[in-house]
Amino acid sequence: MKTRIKELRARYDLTQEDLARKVGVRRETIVFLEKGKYNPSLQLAHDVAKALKTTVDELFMFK
Amino acid sequence: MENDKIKLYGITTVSILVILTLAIYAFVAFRDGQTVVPIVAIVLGVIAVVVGFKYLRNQYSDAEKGMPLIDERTNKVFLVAASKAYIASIWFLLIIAWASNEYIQFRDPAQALGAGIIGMALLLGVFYLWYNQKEDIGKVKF
Repeated sequence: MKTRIKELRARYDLTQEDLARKVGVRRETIVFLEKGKYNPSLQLAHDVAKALKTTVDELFMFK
Repeated sequence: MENDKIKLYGITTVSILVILTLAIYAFVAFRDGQTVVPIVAIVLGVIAVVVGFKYLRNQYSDAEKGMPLIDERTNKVFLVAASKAYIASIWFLLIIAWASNEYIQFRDPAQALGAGIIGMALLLGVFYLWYNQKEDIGKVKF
């Protein structure tokens, strides 16, 4: 799984901590999500996409 | 977030009590002339203090920054760690039972039970820390 979290985070000038606080998760969860090493629940994927003003299918790309 | 801080205070208090129990346990065992049990208790205590201090310091720092103590990933990590620790605990208790005949002389059944409970708690902590830093928790095989 690949994600555009890092790219969009940079676009909105958000740190991993800022995004974690916005979504209500721990910073490590954002780290693992960015690396594509954690499959989030649909709810979390939706929340991250909303925080980064995009959609789930724009944010996560499955091989 | 207030709930998280209360939980953290609770975890800190329980951790201090476990460490104190280990210290008293080691002291009493030494006084009774035992050697293996107190040395193991002291080594486990020192490891628990070092790892626990680092873990709690990070948790307090994250709580101050407004991040939750538990989220969906840490919840999954805990479930995986608990199930792995359950299997490991069975082996641990079997080893304790075998070693109590051969190498370890427990003072009474209460001391053996205490060693079993502390060992199980430490196993859960070790598995939690191990799986918490492991990538792709969803792919762990049972």
